[in-house]
Amino acid sequence: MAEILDTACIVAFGTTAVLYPQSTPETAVPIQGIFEKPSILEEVLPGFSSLVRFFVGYLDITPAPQHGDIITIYGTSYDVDDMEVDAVGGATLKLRKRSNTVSKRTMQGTAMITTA
Amino acid sequence: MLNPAILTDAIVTTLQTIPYLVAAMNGDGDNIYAYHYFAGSEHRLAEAIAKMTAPSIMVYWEGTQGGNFSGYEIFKHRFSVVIRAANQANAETPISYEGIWQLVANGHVNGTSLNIRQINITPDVDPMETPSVAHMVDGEETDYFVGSFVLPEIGDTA
Repeated sequence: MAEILDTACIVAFGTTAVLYPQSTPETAVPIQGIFEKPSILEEVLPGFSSLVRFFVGYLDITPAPQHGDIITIYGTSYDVDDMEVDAVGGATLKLRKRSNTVSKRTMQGTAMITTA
Repeated sequence: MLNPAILTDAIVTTLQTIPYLVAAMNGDGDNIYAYHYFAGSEHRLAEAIAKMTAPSIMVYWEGTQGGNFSGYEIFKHRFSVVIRAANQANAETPISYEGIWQLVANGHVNGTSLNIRQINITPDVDPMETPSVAHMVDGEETDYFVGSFVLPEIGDTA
């Protein structure tokens, strides 16, 4: 019963993402999931933030997601840092944004001190 | 007393000269960066640590200890070096947190054969005291590590 409810909720409220399994990294697997509240909320929406918890139907995804896979949401790439699979086939994937190879960060400290 | 922000940036700049450490940060030195306490323009520190992307290293000022440590050292500046490793699944040469910390502590800096423990980060500070590192777990129950650097200031910089 809980599994049916999970599936219904994911269909009704889910967001589409793409899973790149580590066993077949070139294979894009479309999946659906629901955003859950992470340990710390950020100032932007899930899919743009660094931390995302994503509830999926673990049994509905082939191959099953695992720690170390990559998931793309709204074009942003995340690592599956950790996952918690429940007894009825649902799973919460704990995602952390991957660093870019070209960063737009700047070291503000010295610059702002110099100009003060 | 020195402005600790200058030392924070100097630590970052020095770490960015360790080739293998940069390689472990997706090959991008900008993934090693500084956090500064700019109210309004920076996130609060806890959030900045939580939202670090992987891989990355963030350096921030932890505080300054004052005292008469010797005849010419009266300020010791403490810095934290927060380390988030890259996803190692499918990596050709995976590197662990242990390996990253060894690169931080032993990697050759500034194109020399010296490591960060053996140099003056800036002319105003002595070589750092022996650094430490500790395991941490964040709110997502993810492992990460925080290194600790202590830089004794030479004299009392005006």
